[in-house]
Amino acid sequence: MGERILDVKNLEIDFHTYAGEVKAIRDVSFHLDKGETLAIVGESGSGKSVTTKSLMGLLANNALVKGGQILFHDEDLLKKTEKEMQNIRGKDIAMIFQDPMTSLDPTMKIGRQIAEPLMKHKKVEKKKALAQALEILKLVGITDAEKRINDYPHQFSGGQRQRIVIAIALVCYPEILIADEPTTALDVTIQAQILDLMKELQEKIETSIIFITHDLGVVAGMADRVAVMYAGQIVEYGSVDEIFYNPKHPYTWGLLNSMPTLDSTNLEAIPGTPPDLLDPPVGDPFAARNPYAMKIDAEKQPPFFKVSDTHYAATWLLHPDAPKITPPEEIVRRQKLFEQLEAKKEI
Amino acid sequence: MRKYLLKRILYMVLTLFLVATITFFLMKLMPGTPYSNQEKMTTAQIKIMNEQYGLNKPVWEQYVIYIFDMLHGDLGTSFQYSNQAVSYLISSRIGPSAQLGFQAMVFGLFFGIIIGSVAAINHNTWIDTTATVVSIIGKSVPNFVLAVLLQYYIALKLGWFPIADWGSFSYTVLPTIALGVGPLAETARFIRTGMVDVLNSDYIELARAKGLSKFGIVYHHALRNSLIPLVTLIGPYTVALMTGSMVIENIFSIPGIGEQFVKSILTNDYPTIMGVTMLFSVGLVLIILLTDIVYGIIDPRIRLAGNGD
Amino acid sequence: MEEKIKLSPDSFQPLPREEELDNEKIAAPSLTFTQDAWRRLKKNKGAVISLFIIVIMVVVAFGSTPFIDNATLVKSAPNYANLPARIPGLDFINGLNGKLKVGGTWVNEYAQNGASDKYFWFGTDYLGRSLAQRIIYGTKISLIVALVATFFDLTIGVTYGIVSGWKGGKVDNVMQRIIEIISSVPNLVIVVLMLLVLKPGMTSIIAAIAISSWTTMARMIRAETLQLKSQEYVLAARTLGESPVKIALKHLVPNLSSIIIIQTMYTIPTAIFFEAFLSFIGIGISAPETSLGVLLNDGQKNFQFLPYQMWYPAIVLCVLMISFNLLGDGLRDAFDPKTRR
Repeated sequence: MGERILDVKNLEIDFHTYAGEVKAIRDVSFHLDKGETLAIVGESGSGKSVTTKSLMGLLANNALVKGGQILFHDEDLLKKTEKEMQNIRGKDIAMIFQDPMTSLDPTMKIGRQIAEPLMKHKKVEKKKALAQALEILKLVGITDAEKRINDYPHQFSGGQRQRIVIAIALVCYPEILIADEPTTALDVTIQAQILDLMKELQEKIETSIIFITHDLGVVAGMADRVAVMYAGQIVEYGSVDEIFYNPKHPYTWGLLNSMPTLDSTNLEAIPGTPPDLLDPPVGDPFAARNPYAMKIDAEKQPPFFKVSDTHYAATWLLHPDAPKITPPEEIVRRQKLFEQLEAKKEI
Repeated sequence: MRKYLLKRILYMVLTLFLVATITFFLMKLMPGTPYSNQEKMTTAQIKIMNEQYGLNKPVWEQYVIYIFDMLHGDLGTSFQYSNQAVSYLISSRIGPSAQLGFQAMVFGLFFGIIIGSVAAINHNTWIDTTATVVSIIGKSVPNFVLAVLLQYYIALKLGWFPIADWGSFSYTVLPTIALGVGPLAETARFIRTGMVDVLNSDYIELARAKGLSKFGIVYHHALRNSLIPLVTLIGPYTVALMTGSMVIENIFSIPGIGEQFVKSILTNDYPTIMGVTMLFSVGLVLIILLTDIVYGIIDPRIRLAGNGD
Repeated sequence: MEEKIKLSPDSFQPLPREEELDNEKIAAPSLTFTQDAWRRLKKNKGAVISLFIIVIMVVVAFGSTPFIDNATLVKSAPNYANLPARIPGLDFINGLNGKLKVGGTWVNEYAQNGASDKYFWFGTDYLGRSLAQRIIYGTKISLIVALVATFFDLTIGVTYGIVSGWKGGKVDNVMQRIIEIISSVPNLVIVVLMLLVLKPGMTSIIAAIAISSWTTMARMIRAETLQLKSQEYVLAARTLGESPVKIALKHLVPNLSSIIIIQTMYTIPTAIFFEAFLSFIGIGISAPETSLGVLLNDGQKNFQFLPYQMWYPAIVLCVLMISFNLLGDGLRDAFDPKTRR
């Protein structure tokens, strides 16, 4: 892959609440290369949105960055002032939000909303900015764009609004596009359209995408690499094939097991709920919900074990001394597919 | 849209008609005759007076005459100032009241918006707390108490402004403040709550993600969105200003409608009381209709709904 | 790197079952809606202090009934007229030690009027009557007015709103038109008209409040009832054949309670203001009775020379208004589900 543009190292973020310090992000590290798509997967509350907000410098007031670095072209974004961040946001790093119904200003014409980043970052005058806004509006597939540029958000459907939000994000040709569950609030048919659009535009604009989702199904067609988050930590990361067909972490197993596929016979839910991050449990945070949990899981947090050059997982099951266990049926089936795939590659 | 407007205006006329009717019959229920020096008058004199004012006719006939005259802009003759038409009395006094009311509204809205937005932007800081305290006090201190205090300390002690009466702009400053503090406090509270909501909304987050400056976000996105609903408060403010004027004009001896109204009440001047009541009702109903229309114009969401009618 | 970690073989034994799903238990004790609101209200210092002040005012005002009656109110003592405040033990504070500033110097009014043995905590009025007694009585009037307004809010306002919202259709339309008519005349004008028809005094103020004070409550209740009406649990109750009255009492009122409480807290200061306002312009309560509005009007006449006669009732009235407003805000924050986090 291309040049490394983003490198997050040992990020730790706490939230100050009435009840105490919530340890939302605990020692998270990942990186992003030029032109690739990284998917961050996890259930709600796993810290995936907080991670991306910290990239944008958009953390809530009660958030406290305890440690770590966010290196963007070797500059630490965490050390930047609010003013400096304003010049990065929308220009170098842009973001698409979850709910298109609420993320547009209801009282401003959409043309103006798209033109705003241009006027701010490229110092383009209003007329030219609106002309460029029209271009990008056509690019994201709004029909009759010349007329609709003067419409207000409520005159558009959900899918169209998300296209507009994408237009706003891409209007300055950002290097990184963060998409925070961009399709969750949309109908399934519209979801596919939006995902296709994002892929198409990624090639045109040559941007890297960080794709946040709780839906593994969406990830398969979109991402190059996947990071699985649980309770404020990344528990497994690897290429899309490795995560889907050779997962090593029991949490990833659980996620895949609860996702319907054409071949799957029965779906299994992960029992229980994620731990309270006010007081994270000792050891592996997933232990309490893990049917394969071992004594060590309750005592010591597992380090990352290497599976391949690109694939790492944090589970004691990968320790050389750990007993061999059989993963769930569905995972075994997937791993077999993976072996066939690898075998084909070697030939 | 047109159909909606017609319907609204029809209801408005009906409402005003009912108000007129109710007021009229209430006045008829009132004990005693309207003549202040009744004891000194002979029965014959009272009879003559009654004939002069048409009070000897059956009540229903008086009612028909009253409504008929009102439709022609004739509100009857004042009892207090004999031979003075109520419509003339009102029109000669409406100027100061209108000016005072308008100034107080502008004063209240302008400073209320500023205080409210500053508080919202600095949510949960000492600035916010101060603004909240100011608006609670502004809401709680009755305007007539404030008027007396302003009159004594600012006008009499410090001599910065005239103590009473009506004239150049400097005469209007203290009454405007006394009358406008209520709307100011209400506006500040309203804008603060509204803007705190708006600032936490997704589209503000998107605006931040665009890299806009704090000022740009507030000016281009937050302010407009929190100002629009303020239009709905203009109606209630009008009520507050109308009632407030009754006492403020009295304290500062301003020759306005409110001052006249109190005088009329104290002298049982029925025609004037009815006239002013009708004036207040017409004014209020018109303002509410107007604000509804304006709301439809400035909020794009409602504009569309109206077109769809 | 992982090679360095040496662990005992025992570590890889399966985790005992009972430790599993440990995080399933809910950490915080469950609270009912009211308990939760109360807990949040207690955190709001302003609201708690306001509640405290209101309670004290209620106790003092109503507790004074056996001591301050109409007889005490009319009993004048001209030789004690216009004495400033004098509180035992505060001899060193000018203004509270019986001294009054006359022509730039502090003069002991008590000594001059032969009342050296008397202590009037808030001073006396122009007829030599204790201002403290009159203020307490006035506060009682204000609180009674507040009670009356609350009563009409809760009876007429709530019932009207529920009926209008529940019946819907034509009934609702007519009922809303009536409210529209009532509110297209400024409230105080209605009050004034009532005062003209009846005689100025407590009865007519109460009548006026009965007509005009409940419309806001009725409107809010109606809007909320309309929403509640289509809720599943109400639909279920209807399908099961519960009578409308029972549904209203069992399902609607409990769910409307927060709105009712909050709106009541805003009706009260408005009603108190009404009374003070009317009495101030001379068409409310009149002599021999007194109220804060009457006291303010009396005090205003002598404000230049005897400022305390206006300041004391003004302060009491303002404190009363501020307390109810703050408590109202506190209750709103405590009950408003939007701020529940």
